[in-house]
This record gives sequence, structure tokens and C-alpha cells, in this order.
Amino acid sequence: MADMSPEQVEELKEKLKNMSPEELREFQKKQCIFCHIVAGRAQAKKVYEDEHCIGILDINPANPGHVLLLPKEHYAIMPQIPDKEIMHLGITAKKLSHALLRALHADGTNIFIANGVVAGQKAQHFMIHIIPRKEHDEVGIDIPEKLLSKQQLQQVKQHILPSIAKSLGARLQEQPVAVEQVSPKEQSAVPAPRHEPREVVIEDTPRKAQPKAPKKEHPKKDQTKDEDVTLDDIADLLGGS
Amino acid sequence: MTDCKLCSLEEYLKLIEHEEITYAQPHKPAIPGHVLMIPKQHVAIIEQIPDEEFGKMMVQANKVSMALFESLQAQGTNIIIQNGISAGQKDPHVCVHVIPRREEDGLNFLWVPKTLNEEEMSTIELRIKENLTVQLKPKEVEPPKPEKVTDDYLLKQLHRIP
Ligand SMILES: [Zn+2]
Ligand SMILES: [Zn+2]
Repeated sequence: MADMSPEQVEELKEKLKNMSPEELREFQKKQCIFCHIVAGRAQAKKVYEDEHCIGILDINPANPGHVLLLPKEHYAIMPQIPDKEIMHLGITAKKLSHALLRALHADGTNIFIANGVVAGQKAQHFMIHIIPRKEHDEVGIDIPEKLLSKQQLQQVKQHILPSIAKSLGARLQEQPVAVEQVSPKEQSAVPAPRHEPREVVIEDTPRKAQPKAPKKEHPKKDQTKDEDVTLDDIADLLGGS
Repeated sequence: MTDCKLCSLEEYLKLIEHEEITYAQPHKPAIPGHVLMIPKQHVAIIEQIPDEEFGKMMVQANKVSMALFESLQAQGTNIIIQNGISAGQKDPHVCVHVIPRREEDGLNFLWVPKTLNEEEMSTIELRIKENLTVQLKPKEVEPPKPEKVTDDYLLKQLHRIP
């Protein structure tokens, strides 16, 4: 894409816009180096292969022995993959992790997934990274810690729990606890259990993640509505990062 | 284990229990919305979890990730397992991190690539392949026997955690 003129880019964008989902998928596959590797048209050091997936050595490894586990089917991100296939990928990732521990005498392994460019995803083809680790190897996958107040945690909980429960197909046993940000009037007038059915209904029309969505104004009266709280707002609780 | 922080959940705010897993927020998350999946049973490393159960954990991790996309309008998610102290594991109890991401969130899990020559790559390729052949073959004939050497080493390391 880098050596295309602005006109060519526009032309391509127009072409992509008019493609059916099937055509788009085919187009993505043709552009995808990992699909070429799966098909055997591009070189890679393949350490594992079965009917559904392959494991190859990353040519830019975090550590020697860094394996990329790829479904043979082209999926851009994990939410597109059927459960059955994720199950198989998970089991295979575990096997590969075990093999790295033994074959390379690693002290540990990281299993790492990035969904989306902001999460560090570099290729258009979904993959699971399995990275052998040794003490003091300086691979920067440390998870930082920020202290949140009980109230902030409760607020996040109230916001994410209904979605998580629904996504897992789990029943909510306890109600999200109302937090102080909820206006006192609403809080006393509306018993907590009302939250659940309402939120479940909202989730029947799932929203797409909106990159670069402009920050919305939040009128006070709307603060009880979960859909008005974005990750940005929740991050703002920290007073900037 | 009573002295295990992931068994006691003393530093976590529980979200929900579902099947074999407890879902919780760490009191000190990487970012608000960071969810931890904790097997209810105390297991130190993923090698101790049966294959099917581990596969199911990944399916559920995807479901949590989807819920974070939806409820927080996240622009991305990371799913991370730290298996062993040198991989960043802090408590001797397996957990899966699901972390919502957005632009300029101050998080960065990316590594600096190491450079290996062709010969080093080929040696590693061969060693992993050999090991996988050994690992996969006996299982077809007899029930899997847990491989002891590395696992024990990993476990010992984890037990050194105060
Ligand atoms: Zn592909
Ligand atoms: Zn435990």
C-alpha cells in the first residue's frame, strides 16, 4: 500500500466498499502473508500442523522459540472465530507451550493474544503467540498495576458485568451495586434489580467498537445509563494515564 | 489453598462465578475493565489443567473480550497468560488476563524482536518438532503421563513465591 498514489488508494477504497463480504474475505486472503504460508506459497519454519491450524516460528521473535499459532482459515480477530475452533486453538497452544518448556528448557511461557491494532496486532490474520521465557530475558509483557478505589471498581463492575454475564451465558446472581455517581433521586426511585432486564435488552443490539469515536457530552440525568459511559470516561476516573 | 491470593480473592473484586471459573477485577488493574479469569480449583501452571478445560477457558476468554468490546467500546483487547515466574506470574495459581485497549491508553505489551540467524532458527525448529513428536505420539497409545522434569521445576519456582 505504501507505494500507491492517493488516487490509487481512493480507487481501492471504492472497490473495497462495493465488495460483498465474501469478496472482501477473498481479497483479504490474497493480501495475507499468513494465508500464503498456510497454503504453502510462502516460506516459514513450521513446527506444528494439523487439519485446522499451523504453528510457525516468528521471524521477529520476542525470544528464541517464539511460536505463532494460526488458524488455517483467515480470521482478522478472535470474535469472528467459532467457539469450536478457539477450543482447538487453545488446546494446541497448551501443547505448544509444553513443548517449548521441555525442548528449550524455558522457565515459563507467555500465551499472548492481541485483538486490534491498538492492542499491538500487526497482521490481519488472527494468531496466538506462545513465547518461551527465561529469567531476566527482558521481554516486556509485564502487566502494570494501577490502584483504583472501591467505588471506581464498583462503577466499572456495574458497567461490564451485565455484558460479561450475557456473553458467557451466565445468570447474574448478585446485582451490580449502585454507586454514588448515580443521582440520589434515581437511586432511591429505582430498585437495583431493574438494571438487569433493561441492560440485557440493550445488548440485543450489540454496538460495534467505534475507533476514534468523538467524546460525547454526558448530561447529568443520563449518568445512570450505562451506554453513555465509555472506556474513556472510565479511564478519566484515573485522572489521566 | 488458604494462603493463596487467588483462592481467597482478597485483592480482587468478584464479578461472577460461572462453571469452573471465577471472574474478578484486580484492585490494581492495568486499566479499568481489566478482568481476571481464575479457575476455582487451585492449579499452579496451565500444564496441570486438562486440555478440554483449558480450551474452554480460551473460549470464555474470547467471550469476556467480546463483552469488553461491547460494554466499554474498547478498540482492542489483549488476552495474556503468564505461565511461570519468569513469564511474569505473581501467584502460584493460574489466571487469564483479559484487558480492554484503546488508543494512547498508556499500556504497551510489545517486545523488542531478537535477531537469530538461519542456523539458530533451524536448530530451534528441529528441537520443538522433535519434542512435539514425542509429546503427541505416546498419547495415542496410552493415557497421557504428565512430563515431570520441567513442570516440577516450574512448580518449585512458584512455591518460592512468598
Ligand atoms: Zn490470512
Ligand atoms: Zn489458589
